[in-house]
Amino acid sequence: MTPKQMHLADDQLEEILIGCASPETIAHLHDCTDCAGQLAEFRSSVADFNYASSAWSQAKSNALTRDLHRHRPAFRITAGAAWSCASVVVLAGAAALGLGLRQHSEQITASNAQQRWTQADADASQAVSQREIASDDAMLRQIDSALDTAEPSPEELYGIADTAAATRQNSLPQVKD
Amino acid sequence: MSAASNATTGWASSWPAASSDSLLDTLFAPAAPSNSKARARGQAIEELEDIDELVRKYRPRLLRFVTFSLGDPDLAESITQDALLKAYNARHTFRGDSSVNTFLVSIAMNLVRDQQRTQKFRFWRQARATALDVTDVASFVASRETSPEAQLIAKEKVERLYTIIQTLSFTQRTVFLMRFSDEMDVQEISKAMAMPINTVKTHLHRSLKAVRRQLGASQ
Repeated sequence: MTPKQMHLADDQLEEILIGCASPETIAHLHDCTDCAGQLAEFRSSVADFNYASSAWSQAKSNALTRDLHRHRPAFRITAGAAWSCASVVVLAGAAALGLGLRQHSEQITASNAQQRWTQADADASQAVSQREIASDDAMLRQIDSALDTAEPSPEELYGIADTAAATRQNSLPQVKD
Repeated sequence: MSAASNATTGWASSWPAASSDSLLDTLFAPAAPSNSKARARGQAIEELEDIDELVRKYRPRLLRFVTFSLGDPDLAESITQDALLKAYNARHTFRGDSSVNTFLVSIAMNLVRDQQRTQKFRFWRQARATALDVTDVASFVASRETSPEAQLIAKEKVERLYTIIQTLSFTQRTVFLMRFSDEMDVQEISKAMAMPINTVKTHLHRSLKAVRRQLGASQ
């Protein structure tokens, strides 16, 4: 308290705000409206700030809680229902596995039969091609023998070779020198 | 450079060098409790055991403190979540010497300090990409006033005080918020900040002088 003005000094006002003021300083506030007014003014600003910041942080927290609730599932699965679901899933899986194995074995059987048929077809077609090759060979041999000059031609066999040659010569066109 | 970013210079240097875990161990290491301490500890443990109740009751308050200390609402949300989870996990080491709020604030302070040491935080502090929108905050106070004039005055008061608080150093701002927003006493602030009581008082005096001077100058 300054003796001249009989008001609290800044440090004393601050001590009141901090919460470390002496009883005499606090007692002065009851009698001095100026000092009390200074504190009230400061406290009013702080109270407004606290109200706004509090409401703001509460709103932020509520928004976060709402978001969390929104992302939670709407229903809760009980233990019994969970076990039922699990057993149904296991049974369905087992059935699917059995069905799958059966289909697989059928597919293997069909595949084996298909392979056998394919082999028979291949054998048959191979036999046909062997026959064709043999007949082609015979035909080629006949052609070869027909073209072979060592064997006598039918003209020679029947003794008409000269007559045939003269006939061929006469049939040629005559060239004048 | 803005006033707010000026105020952030040298935050990390104003902190003690101990890690958050060692400070927590010092503050909340188990000790032989008396009957009253055991009761208080039991009540606090009960509060800490229920994570839903802990979040419901303390999250808004802690979020406000961290947000206005850092000025970054996104980072503040992350630190608040971490602090609540860390408090829940460390509930058995809580000695019961302080309130749950002081316990939470001290954990949050240590997380903030750890965050400030990282290079990432230094970068984002420069960028200030997610700075708090004070107009958004101030709009909440306007809703309780009836007349448009009163709404405008209340809004201006909030914006002015927020701007002034941002000009304080980090330590001054933190002790100011602990005392006047969280209504913690000097002993609680001393525990939460791991700082001697006289040092806390000095920071409070300096912050109050700065705030009252600027409030008076702006009126």
